[in-house]
Amino acid sequence: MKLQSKIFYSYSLFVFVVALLTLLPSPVKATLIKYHLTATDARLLFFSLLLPTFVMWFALFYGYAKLQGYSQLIKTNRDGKQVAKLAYGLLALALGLPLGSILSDILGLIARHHPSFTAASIVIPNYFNVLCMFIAFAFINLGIRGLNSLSRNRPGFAFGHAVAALDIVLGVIFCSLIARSHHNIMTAYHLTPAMVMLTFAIPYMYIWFLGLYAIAEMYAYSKQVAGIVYRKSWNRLAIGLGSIIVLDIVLQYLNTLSSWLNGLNLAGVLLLLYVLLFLLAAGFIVVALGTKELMRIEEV
Amino acid sequence: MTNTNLYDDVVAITYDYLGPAADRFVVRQIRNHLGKDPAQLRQEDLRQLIDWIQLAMRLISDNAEVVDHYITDLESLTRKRRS
Repeated sequence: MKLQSKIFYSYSLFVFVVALLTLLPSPVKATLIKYHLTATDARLLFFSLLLPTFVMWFALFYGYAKLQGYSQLIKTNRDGKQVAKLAYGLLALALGLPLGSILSDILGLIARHHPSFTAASIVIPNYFNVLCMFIAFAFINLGIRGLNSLSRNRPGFAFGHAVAALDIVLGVIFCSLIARSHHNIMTAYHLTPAMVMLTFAIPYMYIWFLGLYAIAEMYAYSKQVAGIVYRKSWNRLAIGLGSIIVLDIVLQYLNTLSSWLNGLNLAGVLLLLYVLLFLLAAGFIVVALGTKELMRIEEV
Repeated sequence: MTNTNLYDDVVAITYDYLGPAADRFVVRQIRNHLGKDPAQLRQEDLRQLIDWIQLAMRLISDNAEVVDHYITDLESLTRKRRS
């Protein structure tokens, strides 16, 4: 089966399963009471959130398919191996988001019938997300670093230090929020604050560093690599990949700070989700467009 | 007589425009349009190769100025080699 067919069938399967898991079970009563909704209102709301999510997943799978196609086109070359690593990174994101959603939905359903399973239903998807993000950002980081090594480029001294400083700031804010809100953290994670620090804060800080440093490497590559035409095509790909990394970091940040988001009203939560989903989808579309331009260079 | 230096010169000029994709691009143009191996590229083939490259570049880039500059650089090879 061709790669594009495989991707299309995988995407369709994910959409079908997630739609079933989200819309078939009766909505959680606590959510209905909190936002003053009926079961039908809640289902309509879930549906309105599923649509942009599915659009984002489509853009994600499309972006991955294009980058993987490009890496196949140049697979016998040194840069082909590095582009393949970038594509694997996108694959980890492409599979991680829907699989994480399915895992969370299934475990959540089990927990509704077996309350003793509630903690596991929250802890397992959270760790799954950490693992997927680590794999995705590690591959993207390795790929872009490899491309820079081939062209003997490196991010500037100031840029490298700015990345480290930003990572420290993000990490410290994250840790201080965990420390301040003892009870909310126990509800959100079902883990002690010490365990959250050890198994979420530290891995996330490392994952964010991988992501932010990949952006610095991408910036260096798109500014310094030889070839006026090649560089222009790469710029678009780099902007797309960079925005995906930034938005993923924002999503992880918000996800881990869900107890603070609970304070928002329904309209605020929806607006935030729509904006993030739209921007993420746009990032993947930009990746696909950039890759399309690079593929044209290899096809004529 | 084979002329690998000519091929290297074409790739060196192309590198300024297509970066890491330069070698692959030139090899493809020579193989697909001239039906030759890059090592068999001769001075007499250069004009035809430049025409094919110009056509290909117009499909890749919409920046006519860059394409024209690239072609001028390649044409300098014909003059250099004659003299």
